[in-house]
Amino acid sequence: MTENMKNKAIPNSKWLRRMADAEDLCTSVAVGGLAQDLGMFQSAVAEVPKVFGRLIEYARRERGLSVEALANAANVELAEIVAIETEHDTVPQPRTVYQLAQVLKHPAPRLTELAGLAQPRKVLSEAAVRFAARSEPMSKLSDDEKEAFEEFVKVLVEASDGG
Amino acid sequence: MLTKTASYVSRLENGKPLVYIDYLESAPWNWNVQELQRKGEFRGVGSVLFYVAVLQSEQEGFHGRVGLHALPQAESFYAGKECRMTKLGLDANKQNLPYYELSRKEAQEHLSDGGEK
Repeated sequence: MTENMKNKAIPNSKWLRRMADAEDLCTSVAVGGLAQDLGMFQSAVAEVPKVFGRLIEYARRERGLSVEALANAANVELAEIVAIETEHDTVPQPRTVYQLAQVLKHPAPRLTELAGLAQPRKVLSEAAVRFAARSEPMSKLSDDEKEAFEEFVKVLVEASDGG
Repeated sequence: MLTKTASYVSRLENGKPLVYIDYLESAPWNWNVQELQRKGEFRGVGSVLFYVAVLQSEQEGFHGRVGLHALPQAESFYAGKECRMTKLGLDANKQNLPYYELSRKEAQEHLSDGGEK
C-alpha cells in the first residue's frame, strides 16, 4: 500500500457521518449479484406454508393494535403491512421484518426465515405447518387459534434460544 | 463484502478493468431509527465497505473503478449524490438487477471526500 493510500485508508469522521445518514435514509446498501445467484433474496421457503402474514396479523390482534397503529409503531408503510397480511406471496423488505420483530417482540432471525428471506430451520418449518393447519383469518382469535398461535410463538422463541 | 477483480470490465470506460462487488450487506441493527430510539451499532459500515472496494480498485491499478448490481431497495443509495455511481440499465443476466458503475473520475472524488483530513 502506498503512502498516499495509507492516508486514504481511514475515512474521515465528517464523511462517515454523512454517509451513515444516507444509509439510514435508504435503509439498505445491499448489493446482490451473488445474493441473487444464490437465491438469497427469493422466497427460500417454498416447502413451508406462507404463514408470515398470518403470524403478524395474529400478533397484532393479540396486542389489540390496528393495522395503522402497527405501521406507525414499526415505522413501516401502511400499504406494506396490508400486503403482508392479505397477500400471501408478499416477500417483505428485510428492514420491515426487523422493525416488526422489534414492535411485536419476536426474534428477528426467525421472522426473517418465515418471511422467505432466509432458509428456515427444520423445527420452524414443522411448527409453521402445524400453525397453518390450525389457524384461519378471522376478526377475533378463537381459543384454538390462540392456542395454535401461542404454540407457534413458543417454538419461535425456543428455536432462537437454541442458536 | 465479497469482491472480484477478474471476469468483469468497465462498461463506462471501454472495457477497462474494475473491482466488481459481488456481495455487500449491512445488518438492520446498524441503522439509526429515531422513531425506535435506536442508535445503529456500526453506523455507516456499508459505506466503509464500499469505500474499501474503491481503495482496493486503486490498489489493483484500476483507478478506483467499481461495478455492482444493486438490489432494488438499495438503488437510491448508489444512485444518490453520496456514491456518485452511474446506472447503466437493467441486466438480464442478473435477474434484471440494475447495474451501477463508479468511473475513475467519480472514484477519485469519492476517495478525496472520504480520505483522512
